[in-house]
Amino acid sequence: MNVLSPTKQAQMYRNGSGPVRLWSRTLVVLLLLASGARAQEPGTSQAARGVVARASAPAASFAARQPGSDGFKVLPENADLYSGDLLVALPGASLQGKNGAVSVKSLADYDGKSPLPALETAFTLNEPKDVDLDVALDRGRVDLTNTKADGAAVVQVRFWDQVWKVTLDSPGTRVALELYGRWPAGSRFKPVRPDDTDATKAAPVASLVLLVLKGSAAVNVGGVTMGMKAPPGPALLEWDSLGIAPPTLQKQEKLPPWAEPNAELSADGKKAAEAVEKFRKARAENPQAAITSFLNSGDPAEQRVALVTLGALDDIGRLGQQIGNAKTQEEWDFGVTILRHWLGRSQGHDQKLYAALTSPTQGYTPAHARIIMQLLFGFSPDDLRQPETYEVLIDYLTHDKAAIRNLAAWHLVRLVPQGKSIAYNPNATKEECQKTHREWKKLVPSGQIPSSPSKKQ
Amino acid sequence: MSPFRFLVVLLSATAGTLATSSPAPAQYMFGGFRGPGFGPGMPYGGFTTRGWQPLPRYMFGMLPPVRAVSPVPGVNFFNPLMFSPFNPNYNPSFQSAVTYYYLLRPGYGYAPSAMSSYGGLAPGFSTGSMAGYPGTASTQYYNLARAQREASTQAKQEQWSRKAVQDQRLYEQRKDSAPSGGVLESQESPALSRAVAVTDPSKLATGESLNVILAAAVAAQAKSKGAKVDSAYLPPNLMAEVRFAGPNGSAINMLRTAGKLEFPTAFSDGPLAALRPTLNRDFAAATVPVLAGKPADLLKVAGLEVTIKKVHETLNTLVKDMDFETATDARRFVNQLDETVKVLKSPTAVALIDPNWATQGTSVADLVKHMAKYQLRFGPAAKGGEEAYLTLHHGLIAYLYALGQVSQPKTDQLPKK
Repeated sequence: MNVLSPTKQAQMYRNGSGPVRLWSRTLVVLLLLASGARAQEPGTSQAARGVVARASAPAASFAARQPGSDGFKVLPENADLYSGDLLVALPGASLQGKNGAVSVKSLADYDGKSPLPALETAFTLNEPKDVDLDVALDRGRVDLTNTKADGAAVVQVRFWDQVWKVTLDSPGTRVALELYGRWPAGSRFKPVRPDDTDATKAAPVASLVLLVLKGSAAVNVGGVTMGMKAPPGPALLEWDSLGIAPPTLQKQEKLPPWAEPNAELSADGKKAAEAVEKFRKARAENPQAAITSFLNSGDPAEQRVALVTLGALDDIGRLGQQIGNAKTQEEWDFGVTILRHWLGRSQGHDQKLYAALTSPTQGYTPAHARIIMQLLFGFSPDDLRQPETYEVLIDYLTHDKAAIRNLAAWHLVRLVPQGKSIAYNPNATKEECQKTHREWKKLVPSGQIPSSPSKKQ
Repeated sequence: MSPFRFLVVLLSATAGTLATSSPAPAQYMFGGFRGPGFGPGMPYGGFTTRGWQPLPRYMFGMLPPVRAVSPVPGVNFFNPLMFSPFNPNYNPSFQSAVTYYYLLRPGYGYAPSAMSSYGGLAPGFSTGSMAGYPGTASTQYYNLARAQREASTQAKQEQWSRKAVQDQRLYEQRKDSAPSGGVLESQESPALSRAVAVTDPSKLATGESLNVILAAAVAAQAKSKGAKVDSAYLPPNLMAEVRFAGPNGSAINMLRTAGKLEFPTAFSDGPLAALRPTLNRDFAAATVPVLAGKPADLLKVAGLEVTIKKVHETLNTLVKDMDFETATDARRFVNQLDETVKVLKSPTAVALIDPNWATQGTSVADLVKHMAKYQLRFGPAAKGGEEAYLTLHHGLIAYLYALGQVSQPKTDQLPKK
C-alpha cells in the first residue's frame, strides 16, 4: 500500500468546503507534512539489507517500508522479509526467522482487555548476530515462539533505548511482548525550534509488558538475567521509558485475560476479527480500494480497521481528512484516539504536528496550534481540580476552529459523563455550537468543578 | 667530580626520575587544576603542585554519606575495588565502607543536602576530617547535585510511571474510571504522623501537610476548653506569605494584595493590559477599608464590579486565542475577583482579615482559631513562600504538642487507687 501522493492529497483538499472541511484540510495537508521526512527506524542497525525471515501468513498480512522510503508496500503470501524494513502487521500475521528457530506472531486485543492500547503492531528485523532472531519492536504485540526441534532459541529484542536478550528455553516456549506509548495526561506542549539543539525535548511515555505464556525463559536486561516461567510463576516483566524503577519480575497465578490464547471473543470482538480478515482479503486485491471502501463503510468495525491502518501507515493526512469529515461521533471519537496514538508513538511527532499546523499553508496561529496540541495531550489530575479547566473547555466549544471545539467536546464528555446527554455534532453550525455551549455552562457553571456522576450514569 | 662520574650520576638520576610513577592527583590535596586568579602567577588558572600533601590513608572511606535520592553512577554505587588490595584506596579497616568521591561543596561549604534549614548541619553530617577540603572534585559535586535534582523531578513524575499509558487508554475508551486523582476520585488526607514528618519544603509548600496538622490542632484546641497555651509568634512578613484556601480563601488572598494585584500573563499586553490601572485603582479603593478592619464602602465596591464586568467582557473575546494555560490563569484570576466582590458585599468581610496580621503579626494559636472560625485552610504557597511554610509547620507542630500536654490529665489529678 502506498501513501497518497501529494497531488492526490491536493485534489482531495480542493474538494473540501465549510468549517468542518477546514479542519479536515488542516489535517489532510498539514499532517501529511508532519509525517514527512523519516529518519532511520528506531532500533535498526545500519547493516546491509538482506533477507532475515519469511512471512508465514496469507497475502496482505504485512506492509513493509524500506529505510528512507515514504511509502509502504503490501507484501504477498510467504514473502521474504528484509532487515531494516519497518513491518506493519495485521493481527494474526506471522513470520519465521531465517534459521527456523523462532516464529513471531502479531496479535490484536479485539475485546479491549489488554492493559495497553493494542491497536497495531510494527517492528523491524535486524540481521541476527549470535542470536536466532533480532527484532526491534516499534509498537504493538508480538508473540515469540521457540520453533526449534530441540534446545533453546535466543531472540534479541530492541525497543526504545533498550536491548534485551530473551532466551526461550525449550521448543514450544512462547513469550508475549506488548509495547505502547502515550503522552501522559497533563503534559505541556512546548514548541522547539528545529535549530535549537540545546532545548530539552520532551518525549511520550512508553510502557512494555513481557509475559511468558508457555514454558520458561530467561531475560537479560542490562546485564542482569532473570529467570521466568509461565503462570503460576514469575511470568510478567514491566518496563517504562521513565526508568524510575528497574523492570521487576512479577508473579502471576494464571494468565491474564488479555493473554489467554483460548479465550472466547465477545460478539464485538468477533465482529472486529471478521472485519480485519475481510480487510486483509480486500487489501490483497487492491490496497487503495480496500482502505477507501472500509473508510466509507457503514459498519463501525470496518471503519475502525481502516482508521487504525491509516495511523499505522503514517497516512495521517488522510486520517485528518477522515476525522474532519466524520459522519458519526463514534468515528470522530476513534479518529482522535488514533491521532493521540500517533503522537505518543515516538519523540518528535508532536513537534512535527505543531510545525505542520503553524505552516503558512494552513495558517493556524501559534496560539491556536498550541491549544490543539494541549487538547491532544490532555489534562493532569491537578488541572482537573481547577474549575477553570472546564470553563476554558466550554469556552472552546464555540471556537471558530472546528478542530479546537471538537477536541474540547471530546474531553468534556469524558471528564463530565453527565454531559453525554448534551447533543454534540462535530459538523454543527454556529448557532448549534452556541446552544451546546449554553447547555454545558448550565451543567458546569463558571468557577465550579463538576459534581461526581451518580453510579447509574 | 670527573665528567664521566658526573655523567653516570646524571643518567642514574634521570633514570630514577623516569622510573618513579607520577602521583595520582586524587591521592593529594591542595594542588591540581585551579581556576583563574588562584594565586600570583596564575591569572588564568592552571595546574599547580603548590601545597600538595598526600591524603592520609585513613581518610578514604570517611567522607560524609551522600543523601542520595537515587543511585548516582560513579559516585555512590558500590565499588568492588574497595576490597582489592591493589586499589590505592584500599584500607583493611574500612572494608565495609563504600569509596566516595569528594562530595562537599566547593569553597569550604557543605552540599545542600547536608545543610539544615536552621543553619548548621543536618543530622548525620559531621565536621569530620574531610570538612573544608577545597574543591578538587567540584565536578563530582555538581554532577551529584544535578543527578539529585533530576531524580527528584523524576520522582514527581511518579504519578505518570507505568500506569500513564493505561490511564490514557481508559480515558480514550470513556471508561467510567476517571484519570487517577481526577474529580471523580475521593481525596485521602495523609495521616497526621506523615504530615508531621514532612521536611521537604516543596512538599510543605502545597499546604496539604499543614492542613492535616491544622485540623488536628483545631480538634485539640476544642478539647483543651480554652486553656491558654503558648505558641510561636508569626511576624507580619511571614503572615504575608501565607495563602489561604477553602470558602473565601482565594478572596482573602486577593484582598490582601490590594494595590498590588498579581496579574496573570494574559494581562501583560493588549486590551486586558489597558484595564490594569483601573482595576488596580478600583480594587484598592474597595478593599483598603476592609484591610484596616472597617466595613467596605459599597459605592466603591459597585465601581469595582463595573470594572470587573469590563474585564469579563474583554476576556471573553480574547480567551479563544490564548494558550490553554494562559486562558485558565486568566479565568482563575477573574473568578477570584468575582469571589472577592461577593466577600466585600457580605457583612463578614470585616472580620475575615485581622488587620494586625500586616502590622504586628499574630500567634499560631490565634491563627488556628481564626482559620477554624472561618473554615479556612492553607493554600499552596506562593513562589518564595516555602521558608515561611517551613516555619509555620514547626510552629503548628509545637502548638499541637503543647495542646496535647494541656489536654492530658496531670499525674496529681489522676484518680488514686
